[in-house]
Amino acid sequence: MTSPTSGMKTLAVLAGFGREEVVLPRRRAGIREYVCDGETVLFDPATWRTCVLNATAYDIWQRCDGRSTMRQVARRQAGAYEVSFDTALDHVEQVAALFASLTLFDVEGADATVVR
Amino acid sequence: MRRSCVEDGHAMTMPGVRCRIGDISVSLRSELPEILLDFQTIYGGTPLGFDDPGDGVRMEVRRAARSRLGRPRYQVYGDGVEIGGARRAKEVFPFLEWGINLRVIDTRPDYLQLHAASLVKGGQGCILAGGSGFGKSTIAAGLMTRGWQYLSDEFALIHRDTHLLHPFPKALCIKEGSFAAVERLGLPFARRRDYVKARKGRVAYISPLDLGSDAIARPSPIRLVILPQYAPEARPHVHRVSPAQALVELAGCTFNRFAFGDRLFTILKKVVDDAACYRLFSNDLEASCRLVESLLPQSKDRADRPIQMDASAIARTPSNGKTQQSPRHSRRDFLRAGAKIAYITPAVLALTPEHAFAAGSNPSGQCSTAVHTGGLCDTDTDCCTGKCSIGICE
Repeated sequence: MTSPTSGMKTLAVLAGFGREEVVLPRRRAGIREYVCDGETVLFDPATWRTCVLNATAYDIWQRCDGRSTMRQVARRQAGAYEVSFDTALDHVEQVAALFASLTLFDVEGADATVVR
Repeated sequence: MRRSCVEDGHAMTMPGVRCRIGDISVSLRSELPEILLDFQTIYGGTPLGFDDPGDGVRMEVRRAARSRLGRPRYQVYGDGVEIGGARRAKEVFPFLEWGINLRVIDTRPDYLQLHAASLVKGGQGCILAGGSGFGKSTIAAGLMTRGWQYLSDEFALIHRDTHLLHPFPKALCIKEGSFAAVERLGLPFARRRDYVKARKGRVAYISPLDLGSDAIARPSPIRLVILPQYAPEARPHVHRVSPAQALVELAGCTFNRFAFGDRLFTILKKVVDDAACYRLFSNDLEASCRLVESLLPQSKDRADRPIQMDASAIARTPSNGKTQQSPRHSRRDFLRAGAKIAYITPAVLALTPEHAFAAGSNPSGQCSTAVHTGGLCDTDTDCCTGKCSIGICE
């Protein structure tokens, strides 16, 4: 089980590298998803933490598969929602940081996939 | 832990009464005659023979040893286990009422048990869910005077397989601040008004027996979820709550959620998928009841329901029963407009199964932020201001 401190570690990893760095965020296994009328509830059975995502945030969540960089995720978001790349990247970074702070990312994977 | 009366054989010397509350049988033995009288006045029932061990939930009230200062103390047991004690006689009955709830939590895993009042009109069930002091019981009393049938107060039972609301018609517990409003409705209080219930202070009870022979509803599907919130300075109004947000908040209101694990969310998802969900900002009983009533007939047509309305809008409701709203927005419009904005509303479902209402709020969709986080709320506050204009709203 991932502890809150490891989540903060991931957050630090994500925040510590600027846009020049490459991070491959990965969803933690075991997080349950419940789709309700366009929004999604994520439920972490380990911590009983929940969060509600709108469709955009859920897209970001889905794209954090450990194979895509934040910039790649942002590029797809920008294409899907017709916003500028910078705006999309801003969203992706903030959402990813939140996911990390909520310990929803696989910290081992995140550490291992940080590429300088 | 003290031994119960049953274990030491003392119980059989105490008078008792047996009754049914919904489909749950409750028997009570008490050394305090006034508690037995209160219980029988509110729930009816038949006397329990001295050699009858009772069945279902077995409650006992007995005097405990006096305190060091010589004051009397009282002990409440449920199914032979000490639940706790009261220092004043006035606190015993409210404590007994809660003790019955605790035993139901422990012994009825076939029900999801929500901190909510529940009622039915026209075969459509409504739950009023939320923390203490949000007005659930008072609004429930108001709705009953408007022809709604009663299912439960404090404790809504949702069957885990059928997802139907089941009756558990405990007495409605009304706080002192609402005595006058309830009296104006013409609802009778049972016996006394000087019970004291912990943080709530003085309370009185409305007996389900006084509500009429057809006042208790049958098991019903849930079509309306109301999350009441006391708003002393605002005109009564409602906001649409997204099903996802309602799911999280209902999960936070579920007493026995840890017994259900993942299945909790599967059941509640079905509930919010089939129901219309609103947050009610309430400070006027009559207007709040009108608002709730106006929401029920619209629940089949989810997409066309207004996102928010207030009591004055309801007052303009035309005679054909359709509510007019201006401007009129739909949920789909809201999602379309907000599709480019990623927001997240995190919440932690408190790890103690009591009065948890630990959900953030993203009520209006007006937040222009890239990321919206509600954070962790306590039982009486709603953390989202909706006024944020920077990147992250906390």
